[in-house]
Amino acid sequence: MNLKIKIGKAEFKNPVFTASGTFGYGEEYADVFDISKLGAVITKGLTLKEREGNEGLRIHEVPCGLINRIGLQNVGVDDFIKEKTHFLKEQNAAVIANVAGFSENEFYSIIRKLEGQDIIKGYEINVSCPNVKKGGIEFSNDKTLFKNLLKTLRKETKKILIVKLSPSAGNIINFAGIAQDEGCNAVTVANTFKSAVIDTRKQKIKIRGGLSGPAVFPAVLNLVLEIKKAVKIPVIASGGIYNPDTAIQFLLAGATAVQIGTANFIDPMISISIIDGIKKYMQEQKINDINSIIGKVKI
Amino acid sequence: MKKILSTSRIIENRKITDDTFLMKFENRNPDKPLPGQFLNIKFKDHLDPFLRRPFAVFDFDRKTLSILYKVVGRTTSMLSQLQKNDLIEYLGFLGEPFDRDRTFNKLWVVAGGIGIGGLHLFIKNMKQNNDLELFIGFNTEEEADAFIRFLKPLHIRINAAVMDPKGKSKYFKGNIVKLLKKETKRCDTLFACGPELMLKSLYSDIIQKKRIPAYFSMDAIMACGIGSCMGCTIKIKEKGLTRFKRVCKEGPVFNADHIVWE
Repeated sequence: MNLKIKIGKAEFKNPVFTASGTFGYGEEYADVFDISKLGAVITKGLTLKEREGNEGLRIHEVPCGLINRIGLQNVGVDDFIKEKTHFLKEQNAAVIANVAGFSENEFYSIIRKLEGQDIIKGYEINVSCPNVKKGGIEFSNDKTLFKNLLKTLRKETKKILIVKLSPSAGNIINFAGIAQDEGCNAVTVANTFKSAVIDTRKQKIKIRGGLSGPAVFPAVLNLVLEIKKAVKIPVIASGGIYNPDTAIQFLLAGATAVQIGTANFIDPMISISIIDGIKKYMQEQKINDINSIIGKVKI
Repeated sequence: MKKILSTSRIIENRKITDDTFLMKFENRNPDKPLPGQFLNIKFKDHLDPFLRRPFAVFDFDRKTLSILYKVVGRTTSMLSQLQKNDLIEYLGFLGEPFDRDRTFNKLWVVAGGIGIGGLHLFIKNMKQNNDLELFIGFNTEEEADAFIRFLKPLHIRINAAVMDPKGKSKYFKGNIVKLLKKETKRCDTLFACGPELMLKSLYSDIIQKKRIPAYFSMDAIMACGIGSCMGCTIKIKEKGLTRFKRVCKEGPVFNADHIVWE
Protein backbone atom coordinates (compact mmCIF):
# COMPACT_ATOMS: atom_id res chain seq x y z
CA MET A 1 0.00 0.00 0.00
CA ASN A 2 1.58 3.28 -1.09
CA LEU A 3 0.89 6.49 0.78
CA LYS A 4 3.79 8.47 -0.67
CA ILE A 5 2.98 11.71 -2.49
CA LYS A 6 5.08 14.19 -4.41
CA ILE A 7 5.08 17.95 -4.50
CA GLY A 8 7.56 19.22 -7.07
CA LYS A 9 10.74 17.19 -6.57
CA ALA A 10 9.99 16.54 -2.91
CA GLU A 11 8.56 13.23 -1.82
CA PHE A 12 6.59 12.81 1.40
CA LYS A 13 5.90 9.52 3.18
CA ASN A 14 2.16 10.26 3.41
CA PRO A 15 -0.22 13.14 2.67
CA VAL A 16 -0.83 14.13 6.32
CA PHE A 17 0.93 17.33 7.36
CA THR A 18 0.42 19.46 10.47
CA ALA A 19 -0.64 23.06 9.91
CA SER A 20 1.50 26.06 10.78
CA GLY A 21 0.69 27.67 14.10
CA THR A 22 -0.90 24.63 15.68
CA PHE A 23 2.18 22.48 16.14
CA GLY A 24 4.89 24.91 17.26
CA TYR A 25 8.26 23.63 16.03
CA GLY A 26 7.33 20.06 16.87
CA GLU A 27 8.96 19.81 20.31
CA GLU A 28 5.81 19.71 22.42
CA TYR A 29 4.19 17.07 20.20
CA ALA A 30 7.27 14.83 20.39
CA ASP A 31 5.97 14.27 23.96
CA VAL A 32 2.81 12.85 22.43
CA PHE A 33 3.91 10.76 19.45
CA ASP A 34 6.75 10.08 17.01
CA ILE A 35 6.56 13.12 14.73
CA SER A 36 8.60 11.38 12.02
CA LYS A 37 5.39 9.46 11.23
CA LEU A 38 3.86 12.62 9.77
CA GLY A 39 4.11 13.42 6.08
CA ALA A 40 5.49 16.78 7.18
CA VAL A 41 5.56 19.25 10.04
CA ILE A 42 4.90 22.80 8.92
CA THR A 43 6.61 25.13 11.36
CA LYS A 44 5.10 28.06 13.17
CA GLY A 45 5.37 31.12 10.88
CA LEU A 46 8.96 32.37 10.96
CA THR A 47 9.58 36.08 10.79
CA LEU A 48 12.90 37.82 10.25
CA LYS A 49 13.07 39.07 13.83
CA GLU A 50 11.57 37.41 16.91
CA ARG A 51 7.95 38.50 17.44
CA GLU A 52 6.12 38.71 20.76
CA GLY A 53 2.65 38.42 19.27
CA ASN A 54 -0.57 40.20 20.16
CA GLU A 55 -1.66 41.62 23.50
CA GLY A 56 -5.06 40.82 24.90
CA LEU A 57 -7.37 37.94 24.08
CA ARG A 58 -5.71 35.58 21.61
CA ILE A 59 -8.24 32.77 21.24
CA HIS A 60 -12.01 32.49 21.40
CA GLU A 61 -14.10 29.38 20.97
CA VAL A 62 -17.09 29.38 18.62
CA PRO A 63 -19.42 26.44 17.87
CA CYS A 64 -17.19 23.78 16.26
CA GLY A 65 -14.28 26.12 15.87
CA LEU A 66 -11.92 28.75 17.06
CA ILE A 67 -11.03 32.37 16.29
CA ASN A 68 -7.38 33.22 16.84
CA ARG A 69 -5.27 36.38 16.80
CA ILE A 70 -1.98 35.03 18.10
CA GLY A 71 -0.05 37.60 16.09
CA LEU A 72 2.75 35.37 14.81
CA GLN A 73 4.57 34.97 18.13
CA ASN A 74 7.73 33.12 17.10
CA VAL A 75 11.43 32.90 17.93
CA GLY A 76 12.50 34.47 14.61
CA VAL A 77 14.41 32.71 11.85
CA ASP A 78 17.88 33.01 13.44
CA ASP A 79 16.86 31.38 16.72
CA PHE A 80 14.85 28.79 14.81
CA ILE A 81 18.03 27.74 13.00
CA LYS A 82 20.11 27.86 16.18
CA GLU A 83 17.69 26.22 18.60
CA LYS A 84 14.98 24.24 16.82
CA THR A 85 16.51 22.55 13.76
CA HIS A 86 18.72 20.20 15.76
CA PHE A 87 15.74 18.69 17.54
CA LEU A 88 13.82 18.27 14.27
CA LYS A 89 16.83 16.49 12.74
CA GLU A 90 17.07 14.19 15.76
CA GLN A 91 13.39 13.34 15.45
CA ASN A 92 13.85 12.61 11.75
CA ALA A 93 10.92 14.86 10.95
CA ALA A 94 10.10 16.08 7.44
CA VAL A 95 9.89 19.87 7.72
CA ILE A 96 8.36 22.66 5.68
CA ALA A 97 9.15 26.15 6.93
CA ASN A 98 6.23 28.57 7.03
CA VAL A 99 7.62 32.00 6.26
CA ALA A 100 5.94 35.31 7.17
CA GLY A 101 7.37 38.61 5.97
CA PHE A 102 6.16 42.18 6.22
CA SER A 103 7.92 43.28 3.04
CA GLU A 104 9.33 41.55 -0.01
CA ASN A 105 12.82 42.01 1.41
CA GLU A 106 11.91 40.24 4.62
CA PHE A 107 10.59 37.17 2.81
CA TYR A 108 13.70 37.12 0.67
CA SER A 109 16.03 37.44 3.69
CA ILE A 110 14.29 34.67 5.62
CA ILE A 111 14.53 32.28 2.70
CA ARG A 112 18.17 33.16 2.14
CA LYS A 113 18.92 32.19 5.74
CA LEU A 114 16.99 28.90 5.54
CA GLU A 115 18.17 27.78 2.13
CA GLY A 116 21.25 26.04 3.49
CA GLN A 117 19.26 24.03 6.05
CA ASP A 118 18.91 20.48 4.69
CA ILE A 119 16.17 19.65 7.20
CA ILE A 120 13.86 22.10 5.37
CA LYS A 121 12.24 20.45 2.35
CA GLY A 122 10.50 23.60 1.25
CA TYR A 123 8.70 26.79 2.16
CA GLU A 124 5.08 27.69 2.74
CA ILE A 125 4.71 31.42 2.11
CA ASN A 126 2.24 33.18 4.41
CA VAL A 127 0.87 35.98 2.23
CA SER A 128 -1.79 37.03 4.75
CA CYS A 129 0.71 39.44 6.30
CA PRO A 130 0.38 43.17 5.69
CA ASN A 131 3.08 44.66 3.48
CA VAL A 132 4.26 47.53 5.68
CA LYS A 133 6.11 49.17 2.78
CA LYS A 134 2.89 49.38 0.77
CA GLY A 135 0.59 50.84 3.38
CA GLY A 136 -0.19 47.58 5.11
CA ILE A 137 -2.14 45.93 2.32
CA GLU A 138 -1.87 42.18 2.57
CA PHE A 139 0.14 40.43 -0.16
CA SER A 140 -2.81 38.05 -0.48
CA ASN A 141 -5.12 40.93 -1.42
CA ASP A 142 -3.10 42.58 -4.18
CA LYS A 143 -2.34 40.69 -7.38
CA THR A 144 0.69 42.79 -8.29
CA LEU A 145 2.35 42.51 -4.89
CA PHE A 146 1.53 38.80 -4.79
CA LYS A 147 2.92 38.15 -8.27
CA ASN A 148 6.11 40.16 -7.71
CA LEU A 149 6.76 38.46 -4.39
CA LEU A 150 6.47 34.96 -5.85
CA LYS A 151 8.59 35.92 -8.88
CA THR A 152 11.38 37.06 -6.56
CA LEU A 153 11.16 34.08 -4.23
CA ARG A 154 11.06 31.53 -7.02
CA LYS A 155 14.50 32.70 -8.18
CA GLU A 156 15.84 32.45 -4.64
CA THR A 157 15.24 28.82 -3.89
CA LYS A 158 15.76 25.35 -5.28
CA LYS A 159 13.47 23.91 -2.65
CA ILE A 160 9.72 23.55 -3.15
CA LEU A 161 7.68 26.73 -2.91
CA ILE A 162 4.11 26.59 -1.60
CA VAL A 163 1.93 29.64 -1.13
CA LYS A 164 -0.83 29.66 1.52
CA LEU A 165 -3.83 31.44 0.02
CA SER A 166 -6.28 33.61 1.92
CA PRO A 167 -9.97 32.71 1.61
CA SER A 168 -10.86 36.28 2.58
CA ALA A 169 -9.07 37.77 -0.41
CA GLY A 170 -11.23 38.49 -3.41
CA ASN A 171 -11.15 35.71 -5.95
CA ILE A 172 -8.80 33.14 -4.50
CA ILE A 173 -8.94 31.20 -7.79
CA ASN A 174 -7.13 34.03 -9.60
CA PHE A 175 -4.41 34.03 -6.97
CA ALA A 176 -4.01 30.26 -7.34
CA GLY A 177 -3.53 30.83 -11.08
CA ILE A 178 -0.86 33.50 -10.48
CA ALA A 179 0.95 31.13 -8.08
CA GLN A 180 0.99 28.49 -10.80
CA ASP A 181 2.22 30.97 -13.42
CA GLU A 182 5.06 32.13 -11.17
CA GLY A 183 6.35 28.61 -10.74
CA CYS A 184 5.02 27.70 -7.30
CA ASN A 185 5.00 23.98 -6.67
CA ALA A 186 1.70 23.99 -4.74
CA VAL A 187 -0.91 26.16 -3.08
CA THR A 188 -2.31 25.68 0.41
CA VAL A 189 -6.06 26.13 0.47
CA ALA A 190 -6.53 27.90 2.76
CA ASN A 191 -5.56 30.17 5.62
CA THR A 192 -8.16 31.15 8.25
CA PHE A 193 -11.32 33.15 7.49
CA LYS A 194 -11.47 36.71 8.81
CA SER A 195 -14.03 36.71 11.61
CA ALA A 196 -15.41 38.69 14.53
CA VAL A 197 -17.38 38.36 17.77
CA ILE A 198 -19.09 41.17 19.68
CA ASP A 199 -19.52 41.18 23.48
CA THR A 200 -23.15 42.22 23.77
CA ARG A 201 -22.90 43.13 27.46
CA LYS A 202 -19.98 45.49 26.96
CA GLN A 203 -21.19 46.44 23.44
CA LYS A 204 -17.64 46.14 22.16
CA ILE A 205 -15.62 43.87 19.86
CA LYS A 206 -14.62 40.78 21.81
CA ILE A 207 -12.23 39.46 19.17
CA ARG A 208 -11.36 39.84 15.50
CA GLY A 209 -9.18 37.13 14.07
CA GLY A 210 -9.00 34.04 11.90
CA LEU A 211 -11.69 31.36 12.07
CA SER A 212 -10.66 27.71 11.84
CA GLY A 213 -11.93 24.29 12.86
CA PRO A 214 -14.68 21.91 11.74
CA ALA A 215 -17.03 24.89 11.20
CA VAL A 216 -15.08 25.90 8.05
CA PHE A 217 -14.65 22.44 6.52
CA PRO A 218 -17.46 22.52 3.94
CA ALA A 219 -16.41 26.00 2.76
CA VAL A 220 -12.77 24.98 2.30
CA LEU A 221 -13.76 21.73 0.58
CA ASN A 222 -15.69 23.77 -1.94
CA LEU A 223 -12.66 26.03 -2.52
CA VAL A 224 -10.49 22.96 -3.17
CA LEU A 225 -12.99 21.66 -5.73
CA GLU A 226 -13.09 25.04 -7.50
CA ILE A 227 -9.34 25.62 -7.46
CA LYS A 228 -8.61 22.11 -8.74
CA LYS A 229 -10.78 22.93 -11.72
CA ALA A 230 -8.60 25.99 -12.42
CA VAL A 231 -5.00 24.90 -11.74
CA LYS A 232 -2.84 21.86 -12.38
CA ILE A 233 -0.33 22.33 -9.55
CA PRO A 234 -0.93 20.36 -6.34
CA VAL A 235 -3.33 21.74 -3.76
CA ILE A 236 -2.64 21.17 -0.08
CA ALA A 237 -5.96 21.36 1.75
CA SER A 238 -6.10 23.00 5.15
CA GLY A 239 -9.35 23.79 6.89
CA GLY A 240 -11.47 21.95 9.39
CA ILE A 241 -10.31 18.34 9.12
CA TYR A 242 -11.39 16.55 12.29
CA ASN A 243 -11.38 12.86 11.40
CA PRO A 244 -10.19 10.48 8.64
CA ASP A 245 -13.38 11.01 6.61
CA THR A 246 -12.87 14.78 6.26
CA ALA A 247 -9.22 14.21 5.26
CA ILE A 248 -10.29 11.67 2.63
CA GLN A 249 -12.95 14.07 1.31
CA PHE A 250 -10.17 16.59 0.64
CA LEU A 251 -8.04 13.97 -1.17
CA LEU A 252 -11.01 12.93 -3.33
CA ALA A 253 -11.65 16.61 -4.10
CA GLY A 254 -8.13 16.89 -5.48
CA ALA A 255 -5.83 17.71 -2.57
CA THR A 256 -2.41 16.06 -2.89
CA ALA A 257 -1.87 16.53 0.83
CA VAL A 258 -3.84 17.75 3.82
CA GLN A 259 -2.97 19.79 6.88
CA ILE A 260 -4.28 19.01 10.33
CA GLY A 261 -4.47 22.19 12.38
CA THR A 262 -7.17 23.10 14.86
CA ALA A 263 -8.08 19.43 15.24
CA ASN A 264 -4.83 19.03 17.21
CA PHE A 265 -6.73 20.85 19.97
CA ILE A 266 -9.42 18.17 19.98
CA ASP A 267 -6.89 15.37 20.36
CA PRO A 268 -3.13 15.82 20.15
CA MET A 269 -2.83 12.41 18.48
CA ILE A 270 -5.42 13.15 15.84
CA SER A 271 -2.96 13.34 12.93
CA ILE A 272 -1.79 9.78 13.67
CA SER A 273 -5.44 8.61 13.90
CA ILE A 274 -6.02 10.23 10.53
CA ILE A 275 -3.03 8.45 8.94
CA ASP A 276 -4.35 5.16 10.36
CA GLY A 277 -7.86 6.00 9.18
CA ILE A 278 -6.64 6.68 5.63
CA LYS A 279 -4.84 3.29 5.61
CA LYS A 280 -8.01 1.57 6.83
CA TYR A 281 -10.06 3.27 4.09
CA MET A 282 -7.55 2.14 1.46
CA GLN A 283 -7.75 -1.45 2.73
CA GLU A 284 -11.55 -1.40 2.75
CA GLN A 285 -11.75 0.17 -0.71
CA LYS A 286 -8.93 -2.07 -2.05
CA ILE A 287 -6.82 0.96 -3.02
CA ASN A 288 -3.11 0.27 -3.45
CA ASP A 289 -1.88 3.76 -4.15
CA ILE A 290 -3.19 6.91 -2.47
CA ASN A 291 -2.48 8.86 -5.67
CA SER A 292 -5.24 6.94 -7.44
CA ILE A 293 -7.96 8.62 -5.37
CA ILE A 294 -6.59 12.16 -5.48
CA GLY A 295 -8.98 14.25 -7.54
CA LYS A 296 -11.39 11.41 -8.22
CA VAL A 297 -14.33 13.69 -7.43
CA LYS A 298 -14.75 16.75 -9.66
CA ILE A 299 -17.28 19.51 -10.14
CA MET B 1 4.50 9.83 30.51
CA LYS B 2 3.47 10.86 27.02
CA LYS B 3 0.67 13.40 27.09
CA ILE B 4 -2.23 11.55 25.54
CA LEU B 5 -5.97 12.12 25.60
CA SER B 6 -7.42 9.46 27.89
CA THR B 7 -11.04 8.35 28.03
CA SER B 8 -12.16 8.08 31.62
CA ARG B 9 -15.30 6.91 33.38
CA ILE B 10 -16.89 9.23 35.96
CA ILE B 11 -17.05 7.74 39.44
CA GLU B 12 -18.78 10.60 41.21
CA ASN B 13 -20.01 14.14 40.42
CA ARG B 14 -20.87 15.53 43.84
CA LYS B 15 -22.47 18.87 44.72
CA ILE B 16 -20.50 20.81 47.33
CA THR B 17 -22.56 24.01 47.13
CA ASP B 18 -25.33 25.14 44.74
CA ASP B 19 -22.79 25.92 42.03
CA THR B 20 -19.64 23.99 43.03
CA PHE B 21 -19.00 20.33 42.25
CA LEU B 22 -16.33 17.74 42.91
CA MET B 23 -15.91 15.33 39.99
CA LYS B 24 -13.98 12.13 40.49
CA PHE B 25 -13.04 9.93 37.53
CA GLU B 26 -10.72 7.07 36.61
CA ASN B 27 -7.02 7.86 36.70
CA ARG B 28 -5.52 6.60 33.46
CA ASN B 29 -2.00 7.90 34.11
CA PRO B 30 0.75 5.73 35.61
CA ASP B 31 2.66 8.82 36.78
CA LYS B 32 1.61 11.10 39.66
CA PRO B 33 0.29 14.63 39.26
CA LEU B 34 2.38 17.22 41.06
CA PRO B 35 0.92 20.18 42.94
CA GLY B 36 0.21 23.04 40.53
CA GLN B 37 -0.40 20.75 37.56
CA PHE B 38 -3.70 20.63 35.73
CA LEU B 39 -5.82 18.63 33.31
CA ASN B 40 -7.51 19.65 30.07
CA ILE B 41 -10.99 18.11 30.03
CA LYS B 42 -13.44 17.59 27.17
CA PHE B 43 -16.73 15.83 26.52
CA LYS B 44 -16.29 12.62 24.57
CA ASP B 45 -17.29 12.84 20.88
CA HIS B 46 -18.37 16.47 21.14
CA LEU B 47 -17.30 19.21 18.75
CA ASP B 48 -19.27 21.78 20.69
CA PRO B 49 -18.08 22.83 23.27
CA PHE B 50 -14.94 22.74 21.11
CA LEU B 51 -11.89 23.53 23.23
CA ARG B 52 -10.82 21.47 26.21
CA ARG B 53 -11.21 23.23 29.55
CA PRO B 54 -8.35 23.43 32.08
CA PHE B 55 -8.95 22.33 35.69
CA ALA B 56 -6.36 21.92 38.43
CA VAL B 57 -5.86 18.43 39.81
CA PHE B 58 -7.70 18.76 43.12
CA ASP B 59 -6.67 15.36 44.43
CA PHE B 60 -5.71 11.90 43.26
CA ASP B 61 -4.89 8.34 44.19
CA ARG B 62 -3.72 5.38 42.18
CA LYS B 63 -7.19 4.81 40.69
CA THR B 64 -8.87 8.23 40.67
CA LEU B 65 -8.40 11.88 39.79
CA SER B 66 -10.64 14.68 40.97
CA ILE B 67 -11.35 18.27 39.99
CA LEU B 68 -13.28 20.96 41.83
CA TYR B 69 -15.26 23.26 39.55
CA LYS B 70 -17.82 26.03 39.65
CA VAL B 71 -20.71 26.35 37.21
CA VAL B 72 -20.05 29.66 35.45
CA GLY B 73 -21.38 29.06 31.95
CA ARG B 74 -22.66 26.53 29.44
CA THR B 75 -19.74 24.10 29.52
CA THR B 76 -19.44 23.88 33.30
CA SER B 77 -23.23 23.52 33.47
CA MET B 78 -22.99 20.57 31.06
CA LEU B 79 -20.20 19.11 33.23
CA SER B 80 -22.41 19.34 36.31
CA GLN B 81 -25.07 17.22 34.58
CA LEU B 82 -22.75 14.29 33.91
CA GLN B 83 -23.41 11.21 36.00
CA LYS B 84 -21.60 8.19 37.30
CA ASN B 85 -20.38 5.98 34.42
CA ASP B 86 -20.58 8.78 31.84
CA LEU B 87 -17.34 9.22 29.91
CA ILE B 88 -15.09 12.24 29.68
CA GLU B 89 -11.68 12.72 28.07
CA TYR B 90 -8.70 14.33 29.72
CA LEU B 91 -5.17 15.35 28.80
CA GLY B 92 -2.66 15.39 31.62
CA PHE B 93 -0.64 16.11 33.53
CA LEU B 94 0.06 19.61 32.26
CA GLY B 95 1.99 22.65 33.43
CA GLU B 96 5.03 23.27 35.61
CA PRO B 97 4.45 22.13 39.19
CA PHE B 98 5.08 24.16 42.35
CA ASP B 99 8.58 23.70 43.70
CA ARG B 100 7.96 21.02 46.32
CA ASP B 101 11.49 20.76 47.64
CA ARG B 102 11.49 24.14 49.27
CA THR B 103 10.52 24.49 52.92
CA PHE B 104 9.06 27.58 54.49
CA ASN B 105 8.97 28.82 58.06
CA LYS B 106 5.51 30.23 57.60
CA LEU B 107 3.46 29.65 54.49
CA TRP B 108 0.17 31.38 53.69
CA VAL B 109 -2.14 29.92 51.10
CA VAL B 110 -4.80 32.35 49.84
CA ALA B 111 -7.80 31.16 47.86
CA GLY B 112 -10.64 33.14 46.30
CA GLY B 113 -13.50 30.65 46.68
CA ILE B 114 -13.12 28.07 43.88
CA GLY B 115 -9.40 29.00 43.74
CA ILE B 116 -8.96 26.33 46.45
CA GLY B 117 -9.24 23.84 43.57
CA GLY B 118 -5.82 24.95 42.37
CA LEU B 119 -4.24 24.86 45.83
CA HIS B 120 -5.63 21.71 47.48
CA LEU B 121 -2.94 19.31 46.27
CA PHE B 122 -0.26 21.86 47.14
CA ILE B 123 -1.63 22.15 50.69
CA LYS B 124 -1.72 18.36 51.10
CA ASN B 125 1.91 18.13 49.98
CA MET B 126 3.26 21.05 51.97
CA LYS B 127 1.44 20.87 55.31
CA GLN B 128 3.62 18.11 56.80
CA ASN B 129 6.92 19.95 56.60
CA ASN B 130 5.76 23.55 56.76
CA ASP B 131 3.83 25.84 59.08
CA LEU B 132 0.87 26.44 56.75
CA GLU B 133 -2.31 28.51 57.10
CA LEU B 134 -5.20 28.87 54.62
CA PHE B 135 -7.03 32.15 53.99
CA ILE B 136 -10.15 31.71 51.89
CA GLY B 137 -12.83 34.13 50.74
CA PHE B 138 -16.48 33.35 50.06
CA ASN B 139 -19.56 35.21 48.87
CA THR B 140 -22.02 33.82 51.45
CA GLU B 141 -22.06 32.12 54.83
CA GLU B 142 -23.71 29.02 53.34
CA GLU B 143 -20.81 28.72 50.90
CA ALA B 144 -18.29 29.17 53.73
CA ASP B 145 -19.99 26.53 55.91
CA ALA B 146 -20.11 24.00 53.06
CA PHE B 147 -16.48 24.52 52.02
CA ILE B 148 -15.09 24.45 55.55
CA ARG B 149 -16.89 21.15 56.19
CA PHE B 150 -15.57 19.85 52.87
CA LEU B 151 -11.98 20.93 53.66
CA LYS B 152 -11.96 19.51 57.19
CA PRO B 153 -9.92 16.42 56.20
CA LEU B 154 -6.98 18.76 55.49
CA HIS B 155 -6.65 19.43 59.25
CA ILE B 156 -5.14 22.88 58.80
CA ARG B 157 -5.97 26.28 60.25
CA ILE B 158 -8.56 27.99 58.02
CA ASN B 159 -9.27 31.73 58.17
CA ALA B 160 -12.46 32.51 56.27
CA ALA B 161 -13.87 35.81 55.05
CA VAL B 162 -17.42 36.22 53.79
CA MET B 163 -18.44 39.12 51.51
CA ASP B 164 -22.10 39.20 52.39
CA PRO B 165 -23.01 37.54 55.67
CA LYS B 166 -26.57 37.94 56.90
CA GLY B 167 -26.43 39.82 60.17
CA LYS B 168 -23.90 38.76 62.79
CA SER B 169 -21.50 36.16 61.41
CA LYS B 170 -18.93 33.81 62.86
CA TYR B 171 -16.77 34.74 59.84
CA PHE B 172 -14.84 37.91 59.04
CA LYS B 173 -17.09 40.27 57.05
CA GLY B 174 -15.49 41.47 53.82
CA ASN B 175 -13.22 40.08 51.15
CA ILE B 176 -10.10 38.05 51.80
CA VAL B 177 -7.74 40.95 51.07
CA LYS B 178 -9.51 43.02 53.75
CA LEU B 179 -8.97 40.16 56.22
CA LEU B 180 -5.29 39.94 55.32
CA LYS B 181 -4.88 43.71 55.78
CA LYS B 182 -5.95 43.30 59.40
CA GLU B 183 -3.60 40.35 59.92
CA THR B 184 -0.71 41.33 62.16
CA LYS B 185 1.17 38.03 61.82
CA ARG B 186 3.66 37.68 59.00
CA CYS B 187 4.50 34.86 56.61
CA ASP B 188 7.65 34.20 54.65
CA THR B 189 5.91 33.11 51.41
CA LEU B 190 2.40 33.35 50.01
CA PHE B 191 0.68 31.18 47.37
CA ALA B 192 -2.61 32.27 45.87
CA CYS B 193 -5.24 31.22 43.38
CA GLY B 194 -8.50 32.96 42.56
CA PRO B 195 -10.25 35.57 40.41
CA GLU B 196 -8.02 38.10 38.65
CA LEU B 197 -9.48 41.04 40.61
CA MET B 198 -8.64 39.32 43.89
CA LEU B 199 -5.07 38.53 42.77
CA LYS B 200 -4.49 42.11 41.58
CA SER B 201 -5.75 43.56 44.86
CA LEU B 202 -3.82 40.95 46.88
CA TYR B 203 -0.67 41.95 45.03
CA SER B 204 -0.98 45.72 45.34
CA ASP B 205 -2.47 45.89 48.87
CA ILE B 206 -0.65 43.08 50.66
CA ILE B 207 2.25 41.50 48.74
CA GLN B 208 3.84 44.65 47.39
CA LYS B 209 3.24 46.68 50.57
CA LYS B 210 4.53 44.02 52.95
CA ARG B 211 7.19 42.76 50.46
CA ILE B 212 6.15 39.13 50.75
CA PRO B 213 7.60 36.64 48.23
CA ALA B 214 4.51 35.29 46.47
CA TYR B 215 3.40 32.92 43.71
CA PHE B 216 0.11 32.95 41.83
CA SER B 217 -1.53 30.04 40.03
CA MET B 218 -2.97 31.66 36.91
CA ASP B 219 -5.90 30.78 34.69
CA ALA B 220 -6.23 31.16 30.91
CA ILE B 221 -8.36 30.10 27.98
CA MET B 222 -6.41 27.30 26.32
CA ALA B 223 -6.37 25.58 22.96
CA CYS B 224 -3.54 23.03 22.79
CA GLY B 225 -2.70 22.94 26.53
CA ILE B 226 0.84 21.74 25.81
CA GLY B 227 2.66 24.88 24.76
CA SER B 228 2.54 24.85 20.98
CA CYS B 229 -0.24 27.26 19.94
CA MET B 230 0.68 30.40 21.97
CA GLY B 231 -2.99 31.01 22.79
CA CYS B 232 -2.78 31.16 26.59
CA THR B 233 0.01 33.68 27.12
CA ILE B 234 0.34 36.33 29.83
CA LYS B 235 2.88 39.12 30.09
CA ILE B 236 5.77 38.39 32.42
CA LYS B 237 8.54 40.85 33.29
CA GLU B 238 11.75 39.17 34.31
CA LYS B 239 15.29 40.61 34.51
CA GLY B 240 14.08 43.78 32.84
CA LEU B 241 12.56 41.98 29.83
CA THR B 242 8.82 41.74 29.20
CA ARG B 243 7.78 38.59 27.34
CA PHE B 244 4.69 36.54 26.74
CA LYS B 245 4.84 33.27 28.68
CA ARG B 246 2.52 30.30 28.29
CA VAL B 247 0.21 29.60 31.24
CA CYS B 248 0.06 25.93 30.14
CA LYS B 249 3.82 25.45 29.84
CA GLU B 250 5.90 27.95 31.84
CA GLY B 251 2.92 28.28 34.21
CA PRO B 252 0.36 28.00 35.61
CA VAL B 253 2.36 29.16 38.65
CA PHE B 254 4.26 32.44 38.28
CA ASN B 255 6.19 34.68 40.63
CA ALA B 256 3.67 37.40 41.55
CA ASP B 257 6.31 40.14 41.13
CA HIS B 258 6.76 39.18 37.48
CA ILE B 259 3.14 39.35 36.36
CA VAL B 260 2.30 42.38 34.22
CA TRP B 261 -1.43 42.99 34.66
CA GLU B 262 -3.38 44.20 31.61
